[in-house]
Amino acid sequence: MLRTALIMVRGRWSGFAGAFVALCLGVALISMTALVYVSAAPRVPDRYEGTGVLVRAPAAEQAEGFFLEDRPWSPEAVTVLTGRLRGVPGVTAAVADRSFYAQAVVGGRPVPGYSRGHGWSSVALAPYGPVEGRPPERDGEVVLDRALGISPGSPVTLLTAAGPVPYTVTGTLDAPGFHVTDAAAARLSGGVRVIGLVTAADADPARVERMAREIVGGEGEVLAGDARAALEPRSDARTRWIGTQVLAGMAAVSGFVSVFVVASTFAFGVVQRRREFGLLRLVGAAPRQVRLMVYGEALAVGAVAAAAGAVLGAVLAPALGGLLVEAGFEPPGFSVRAALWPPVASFGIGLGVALLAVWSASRRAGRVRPLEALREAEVDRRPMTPARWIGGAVLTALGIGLAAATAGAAADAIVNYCLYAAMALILGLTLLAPVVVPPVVRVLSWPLSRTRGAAGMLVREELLAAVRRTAATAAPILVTVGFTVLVTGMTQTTAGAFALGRTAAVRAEAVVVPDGTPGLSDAAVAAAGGVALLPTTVYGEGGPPLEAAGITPEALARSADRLEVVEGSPGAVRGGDGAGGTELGAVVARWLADERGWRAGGAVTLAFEDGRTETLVVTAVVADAPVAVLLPRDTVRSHDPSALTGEVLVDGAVRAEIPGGRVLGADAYARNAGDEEDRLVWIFTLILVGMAVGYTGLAVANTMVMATAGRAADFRVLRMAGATPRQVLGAVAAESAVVTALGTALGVAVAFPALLGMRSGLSEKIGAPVPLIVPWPVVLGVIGGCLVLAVGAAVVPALAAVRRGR
Amino acid sequence: MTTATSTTPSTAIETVRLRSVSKVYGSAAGTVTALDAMTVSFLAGTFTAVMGPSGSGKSTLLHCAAGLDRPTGGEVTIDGTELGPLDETALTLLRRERIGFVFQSFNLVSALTAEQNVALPLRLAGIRPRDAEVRAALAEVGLAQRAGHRPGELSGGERQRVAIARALITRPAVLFADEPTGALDSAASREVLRLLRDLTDHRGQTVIMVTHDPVAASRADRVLLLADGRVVDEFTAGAPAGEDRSGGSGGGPGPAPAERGLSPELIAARMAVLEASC
Repeated sequence: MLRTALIMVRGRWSGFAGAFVALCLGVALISMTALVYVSAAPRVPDRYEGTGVLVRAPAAEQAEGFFLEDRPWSPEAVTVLTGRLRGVPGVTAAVADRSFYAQAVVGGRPVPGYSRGHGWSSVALAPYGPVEGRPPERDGEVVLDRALGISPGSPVTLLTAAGPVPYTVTGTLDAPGFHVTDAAAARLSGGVRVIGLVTAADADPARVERMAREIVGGEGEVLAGDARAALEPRSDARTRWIGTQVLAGMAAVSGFVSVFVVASTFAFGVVQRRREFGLLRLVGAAPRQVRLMVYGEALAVGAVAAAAGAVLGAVLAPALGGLLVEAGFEPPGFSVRAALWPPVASFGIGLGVALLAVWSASRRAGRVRPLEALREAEVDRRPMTPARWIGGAVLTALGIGLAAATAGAAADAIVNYCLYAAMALILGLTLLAPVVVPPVVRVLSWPLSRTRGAAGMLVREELLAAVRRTAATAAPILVTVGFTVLVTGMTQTTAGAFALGRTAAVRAEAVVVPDGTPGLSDAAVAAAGGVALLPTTVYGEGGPPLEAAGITPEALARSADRLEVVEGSPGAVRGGDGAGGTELGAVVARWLADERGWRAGGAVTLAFEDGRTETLVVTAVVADAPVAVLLPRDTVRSHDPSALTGEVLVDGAVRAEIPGGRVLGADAYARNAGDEEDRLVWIFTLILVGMAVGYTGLAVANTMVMATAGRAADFRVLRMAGATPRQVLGAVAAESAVVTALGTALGVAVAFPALLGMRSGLSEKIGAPVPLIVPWPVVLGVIGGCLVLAVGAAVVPALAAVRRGR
Repeated sequence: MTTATSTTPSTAIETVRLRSVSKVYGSAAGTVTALDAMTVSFLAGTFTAVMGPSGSGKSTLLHCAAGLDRPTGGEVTIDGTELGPLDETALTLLRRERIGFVFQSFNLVSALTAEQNVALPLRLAGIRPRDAEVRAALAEVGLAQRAGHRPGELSGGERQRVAIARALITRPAVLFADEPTGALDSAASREVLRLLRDLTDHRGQTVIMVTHDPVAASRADRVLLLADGRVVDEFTAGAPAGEDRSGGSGGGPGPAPAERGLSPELIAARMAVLEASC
């Protein structure tokens, strides 16, 4: 039977082309994704490549998706540790590594790229080449990247957390970063988390490592060799984590869509080949044999397609890696490593997908009765089965429910909700298509029936008579348009709503956001003069690091009525207002208070970014704080000199020039929430939409080609009845256009209720009307693409059929 | 009523037997009786033509007799096996081993070559077809040279001969032919009919053919005329199958029917009367 299946596939290769391409692309994507995924391991940072042994502060367990810095050593501990480590034989220096925010300003604009400053002595840990010029010797001197093109002796403006500061360049290095004196670095940075050991040339690294371990004990972790990769910057770890999410999403969508496309291709093929299966039954094939044969065909097509896809994926993976780095989904310096198992595994997945996809088609083929070989017309008299009704209704309801539930989801879960909602709706509507299509066709094609020519009547009747074919071709367009409107609309509207929520909290009229910088300096915040949070990390006794933020008393007072106070009074956060006169106050989120047993009025001890600890009074517990702990801004600044402000909400016009920032109106801000996270989510969305569109485009083209090829006889009859080739092609093109309109109408009709439901949920949550943002250029582009594909895929084979018919 | 007993009543084997077989389509008010308690037998080694106006039930008779459709009443026996108790798979196995089919529209699998089409029933039975066997079957229908061609590259007559070769590859007890010449020109028709006649004469193949063409019917040993689901008339050629045909007058196709005593004109006249009375 498998042999016969093979011969069948060879004989009607064109009928399997769609399934082949879909599967090949799907496997290529999965193979590519898996290769990138296994390559995405942490690397030893360049800055530490020049030394064999490093010590880092103890790392705390963090929840999935959190990448906060670990608690640094206290200044006293750093002094003790470096002193003792310096005493290890063979160690010439123990360098406490300090980092801070710094960015050069050239021509009035901050230079994008690496924006960290370090103490000069840390250069000894890196294998950088020699310095051109001389090291920094006093405050106000800096050695920077030669690539900036600023020669030694020149003045330069550096943007730091305080604001723009004039420096003198004393030298340049062939490496990124800004190196200042150790004393200056100590003032600009927070605490120390890494101590690097500079060793003499004849030192035994293993011995140094062992002795360092004895000295450090439980106060830190000694890392040597490849283990140094654990020192990867947290921001890179976070980037890789985001990249993994994107890859998982891409793999899920491509797996799902390839099952969908391959399944519908096979199903359509079975419908078209009923006579052939009937014939096989007639000459003695048992139902099981027909089923096996269909499986055999899928296996044959699947094996070739999956093999081609696995190879294609391996070839294209480096390019995908590059694109991900460029988009910010993988850290700079990431590259794809060769590995065998990802392509092999994707080959297996491809075969599995093919067999899964053909399951329903094979059952249908096995049910064909021998007498159907003798019927002239291929009529599927029962397109809707009870299972189809139930499945379609349940999945559609589930999809709409999920779309509505998106409103209540956390920000990072929204894309996932969107995806699940879109998948459920796609499946549900495809199942229901034979019911939904005829009435809509009747409405859409009504104008055609009023025209005088034959073409209008012909198109309308063709579409109505062949409901299944119409449904099959409209379904992928429905899916594409629905998916696009839903997913892009959801992410845009939600991002806008969250931004709007922030401005609504203080009734801001404008927002100052970073422009070419990772955050706003104090100078920028002062110039903007609004409400701002200064984010930092604090450490309680035990437990993971906590997100905290500094806020001025005035700003807290302005947004106080937006905070739902559980106990205490947030107004008392200012220093000196608490019961102890000079004690500092903290506003704590309810989840944290519950977890740690903290109560308003109680005292808590927190460690800060510089490693020092401070005892604070909990002035209030609130239900919905933006971060775990709200602290006085001055306290945060004194402990974390390098912290940057994310955005400033301004009530009124901003007059001053803001260094490294720009001003957006509240609406523009909601529409174009420009922060990094939203940008990544949007790019991710576009990638997913692009993939879905590519796939469904394939499905549209494939179904159209198959359907049109199956109608060569109809076209001949039309030609004999006196239709010119132009009239036949015109009718075919019009038919495709109506089908595209049908799919678009249905897709929009499905997506909009879901979007509106989500919007009302969001509006309620935020307490302000949320604008429904649908990126029309993207949606219109997708519809146009579908139209071109559908008409092209129908007209080209029809042209061939008409030519042959002459 | 009409059983084929006229010539060799006691010794002949009944390859296909229908006993009061009925087939009623539709339900409640709108029922159509396609076969009305029909009892008829087809003897081994005979060539029978079934004729009748459209709607007379001749295709239904063929489908029920061949186990393609299940009758609403009565029993069908093929080569000693009663079809009623068989499930779909058992019925398929019986069709595969004991029955061959030839249809008006050839029904070849377009993706397979002539040779592969012929070998298909054996493959379906899980038997590796021997090349020689398949070649011989094609040679028997005069298509040894066309073995590697796909149906699209063959003429109508050639396709029908491939279909006949395929039907015979399993050495079936009975060959059913549904309008085998319906889509062919007269030369190709003659060729196919000669082939069917030869099968009965030389191999003792039982053939049951549904047709509306009196010329085609005149080549048979026996002609059944159907109307309203009943056998209303029957002609039998003078001599039973297999006898005194082998040595005799293999001359032109013209004189043969007349010699057998079944004249196309007579059949056509009876048909005309039947059609007028419908």
